Amino acid sequence: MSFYGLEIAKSAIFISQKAVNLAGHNIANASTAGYTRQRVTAVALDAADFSGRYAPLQKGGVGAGAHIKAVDQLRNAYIDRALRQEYSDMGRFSTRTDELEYIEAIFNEVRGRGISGTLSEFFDSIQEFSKDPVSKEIRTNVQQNALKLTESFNHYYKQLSEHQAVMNESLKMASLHVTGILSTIAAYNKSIYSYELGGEKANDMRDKRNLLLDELSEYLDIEYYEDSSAKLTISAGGDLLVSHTDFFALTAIEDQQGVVTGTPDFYRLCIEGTDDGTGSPIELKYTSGRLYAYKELRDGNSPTDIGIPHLLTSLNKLARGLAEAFNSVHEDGYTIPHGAVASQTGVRMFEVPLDTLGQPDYSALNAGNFRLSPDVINDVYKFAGSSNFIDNSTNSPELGNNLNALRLAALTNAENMLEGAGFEGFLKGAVLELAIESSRSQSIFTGQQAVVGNLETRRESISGVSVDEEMVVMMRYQHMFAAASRVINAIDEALEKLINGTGLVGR
Amino acid sequence: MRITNAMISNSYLKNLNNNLTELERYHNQLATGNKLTKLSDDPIGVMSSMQVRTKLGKLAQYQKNVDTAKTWHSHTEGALIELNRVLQSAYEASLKASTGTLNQSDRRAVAEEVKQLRDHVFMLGNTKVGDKYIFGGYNTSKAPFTLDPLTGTLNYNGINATVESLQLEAETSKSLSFEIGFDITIEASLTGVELLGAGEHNIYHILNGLYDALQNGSAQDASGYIERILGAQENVLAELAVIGGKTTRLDLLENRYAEDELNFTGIKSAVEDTDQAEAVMQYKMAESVYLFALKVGSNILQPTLLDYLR
Repeated sequence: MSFYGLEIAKSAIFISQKAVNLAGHNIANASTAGYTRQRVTAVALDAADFSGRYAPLQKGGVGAGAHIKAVDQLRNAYIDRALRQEYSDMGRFSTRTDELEYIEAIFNEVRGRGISGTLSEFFDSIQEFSKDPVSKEIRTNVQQNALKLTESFNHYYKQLSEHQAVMNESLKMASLHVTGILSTIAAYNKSIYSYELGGEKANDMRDKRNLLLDELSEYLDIEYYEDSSAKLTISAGGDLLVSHTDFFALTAIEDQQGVVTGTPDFYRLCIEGTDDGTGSPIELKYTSGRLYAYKELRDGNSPTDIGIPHLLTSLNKLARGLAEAFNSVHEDGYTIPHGAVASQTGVRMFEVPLDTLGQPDYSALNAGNFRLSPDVINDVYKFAGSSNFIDNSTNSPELGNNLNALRLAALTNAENMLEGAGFEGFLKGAVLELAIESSRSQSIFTGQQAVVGNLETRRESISGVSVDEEMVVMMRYQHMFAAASRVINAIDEALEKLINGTGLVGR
Repeated sequence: MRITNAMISNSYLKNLNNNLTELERYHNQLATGNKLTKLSDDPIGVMSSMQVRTKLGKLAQYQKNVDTAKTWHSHTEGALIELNRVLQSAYEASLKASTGTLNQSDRRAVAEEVKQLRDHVFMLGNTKVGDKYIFGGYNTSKAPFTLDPLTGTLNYNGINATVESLQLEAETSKSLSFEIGFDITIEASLTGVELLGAGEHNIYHILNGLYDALQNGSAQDASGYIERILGAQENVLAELAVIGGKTTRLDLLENRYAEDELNFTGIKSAVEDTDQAEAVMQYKMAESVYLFALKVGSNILQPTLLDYLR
């Protein structure tokens, strides 16, 4: 008889206590974001090794109980990696979808309330003008509708440009947030590394770091790698962002030329503290995530890469096309004499910016500076509906001459005004592009949500806490505790018998 | 697969949210009557709605234009009918005066009648619609027909209408036209030259000559005008036929536009407007699914093993 059995039972008591504590920890974190359930990994202690010189003669050595080898996390690193790739695309299309929906709302084309509504009202008033080129009311109507048209162009231009600036600021804000994440991850790297030097796993700190990696991958597409000595490296496009305990901050340098207009310079994201060989920092390489969504909305200027500049370009083309076509017809016509002002020709309907030589420069005209000419703003009689000079002093002034007004009216229906389409057709095309892009982005986002949802379910299935399961675990260890206590009891009674109940022989 | 509590509540929340989204969608459709709230709901649908909207706008405009053109045409037609009647009376007067049974004073009485007819023709030439002269070509603001204060001859837009000239000829091309359809223009009325004729064929000029002949000349002189009046009448009838044809054309267009409007409104409504019956059905379905989900939720989220342990 020895105390060997007590030691075995003690190890069982310790394990069951620890396991119940851990079940409590798991339950406490059942709905903690990023928490990974933990399990006690116990191993049996081998029977004492009496081999060799002092080996006992008898067979049947009993093991020494169990001990806790580690507290492990149940986590699948491959699902993590797959998820983080998908998070980048989800971040990108979630942001893109939101922003495009906002831009759709700016356009407000559903039920004809947008720019197409003002365009057709303007066209209608030109038609009325062609029927009665003299009436002041009708001329005023043309003027007001034209004003409404130019103002709505200006308004859309302003709204879109402002939103472009918002995208630019968002890019910078997001990069600051990314820097924050990078620095926190570097700090965790240090803590985890030093904690794990002792051989323990830093489970809960790892959970927090994993959560940060998830969040980081929503912002940009990253590569990461943990080497055998538990040092974590994060890079983007091959450039280091975090190297174990060091991190590189992102910096937004304001030197990128805007795509469409002479807007102030946009931000370019670079990695601080690096050198691309010319003394300037390396530009951050990213092709997905929220950062990329902001960037592509800010810079996208082609039908395959639709961003705000592309929409602005379309609006600009339309404004320019309208101004050029209407001016060229309008300049041919004659205004009607009014008071002391004689009939004039060469009057512009829309204002054109002048180049340095004082010549009209249509290429400088955009949706933002699309305006009626001061002539027609100040005097509605300056709308040129006649094809001939009108002289009120003759017996037959050609006030009713509507030939030029008819030519203006013909422009409203003309095909082949802009890229093979009429004005209204062109506008529809531009709006359709936006609508399709927004709907495409929505469906990609929905698809991405499904993929991420599936992976998250798989991850949750492995790592999530099931309260029922924890209860079962708790009961198991409760029973183990009770049983181990029983063992102690049994040994205690045996020893009691041995010590106090024996040895009375001959007393 | 291992199912955890968080999985159940997550998927429950996600599904509940989907249900609410559906519910909100149909509620929105019912409350606003609109099927589409944003472009990306149905890009192609929004496009056809924009397309139809443009078409409808154009149709409304063309309908207005046709309307204006019809007003001008009916005035032109009225003037031509009036002219025909005048010429008929003038024909009868000239016939009566040329029989030789009338003496000079009788002829003077007839001349008075012809003078009235002549002045009526002058008035017809200066017909106005609203504040516009409709037979002046581009000149809509001043009376196109005037009498020369010195010679008393008839001027059209300041040009002598009783003598054929290139200038007068040029006036016929200055006729007002309206756009009444895509690439379709129609002349709004006739120019004064076409209405009353030029030079020797000018109705005013003919009647004025007849008046002079009746006033001062013989029965022979008056009979010389019969042919000319008949010729002028023929011209007027020909113009009337043309105007009649154009009016028919305008009527046809008007009918077609009305039909088109109906069709396009139908298409627009089909794209844009909520199908109430369907939306109500869908709403009810979404509602019951939502209620079921809530019910199920109260059952699956509540119990855990804890409820059954002593």
